[in-house]
Amino acid sequence: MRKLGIGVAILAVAVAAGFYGWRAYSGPPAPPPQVSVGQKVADFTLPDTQGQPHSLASLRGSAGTLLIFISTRCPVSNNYNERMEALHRDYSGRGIRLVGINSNRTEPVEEVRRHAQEKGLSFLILKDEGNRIADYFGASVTPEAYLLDTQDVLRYHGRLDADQHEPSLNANELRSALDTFLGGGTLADTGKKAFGCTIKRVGG
Amino acid sequence: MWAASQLRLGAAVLAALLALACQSGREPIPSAQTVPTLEAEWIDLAGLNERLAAERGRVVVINFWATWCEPCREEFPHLIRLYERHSRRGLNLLSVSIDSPRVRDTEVRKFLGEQRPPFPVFIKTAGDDDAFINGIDPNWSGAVPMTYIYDRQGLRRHALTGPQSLAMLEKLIQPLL
Repeated sequence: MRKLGIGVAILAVAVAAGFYGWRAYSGPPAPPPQVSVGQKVADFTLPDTQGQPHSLASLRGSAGTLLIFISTRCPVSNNYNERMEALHRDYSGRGIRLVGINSNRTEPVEEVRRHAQEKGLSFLILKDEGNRIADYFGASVTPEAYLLDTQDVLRYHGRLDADQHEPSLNANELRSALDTFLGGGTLADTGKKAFGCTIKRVGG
Repeated sequence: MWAASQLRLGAAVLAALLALACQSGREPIPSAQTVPTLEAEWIDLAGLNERLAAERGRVVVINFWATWCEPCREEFPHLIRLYERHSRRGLNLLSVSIDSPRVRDTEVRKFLGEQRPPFPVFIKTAGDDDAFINGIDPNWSGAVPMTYIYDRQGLRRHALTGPQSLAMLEKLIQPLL
């Protein structure tokens, strides 16, 4: 009986060992967002690609601010370069300030500046060294958009459109959200996802 | 006599328990596939869930990737090595490309021809990314590569964001095999 007891004990240990792997491992994912749709975004300051600091408050358009996390190397983000530039062109006159944010630790500021020149991105791009602002928003892919109203309240979070390979969509979901927002409407559906590249975070 | 009989019975039970503890009561499961996959098979969310359910009894790694994703391309050989090392012990790997359907016969086929993966490869059918991503995992942002590990009971045990090393994958699957 004593041996039987030992066998049961060994079995219990073996079963416990089998479940050792239960604890989920994560690589370098985005942390939980510190702000969600409907909440006010705390002011922050980041440098542009020339090193000049800009606060969120100083960037605010007369109707709102559109922040898009972007990348120099991500093919998905690059597939949206023309669409982002078109958004900037079409909505700056309607009071929306488009600002790009690069949080990838693998993309130095010189590369971000050169990339913008080569791709003809005329909107302001900020460099988020240490991915502090990406962490604040919980941004995890590029491109990923956040629309703030004039009180810096987050009104939309999500993708630009449903298909990176179909430029004719021309960021239609984000445009629809912008049009609804500018028309004074309520954004019913926010935060839709699309496939993209991970933001390469510090420590990842 | 009675004592000796009891002792033998106890020893037999102990041996059986030890065997159970060591092998989890399972016969080795043959690998699911032995020939390279050169063409991705269409799959949607329902199909992927069905396939996962059919793999019950194996430890399953599902890896989402794309040809445009450089970290995914770099990770791919690690997945091949993982499968080669552990498929005979009951590991299967389901590789799911989230490339545009229109590049299935060009970029995806070219990549598979170069890599010659020994595991099944699928490509997501056209449809809403949002529903697919949330259907897999509401906590998944849609960033690739993304890897999930399921145990033999079909329970998701790990969700891995970004490219993984062979050592990390082996560390996580070893206790499940």
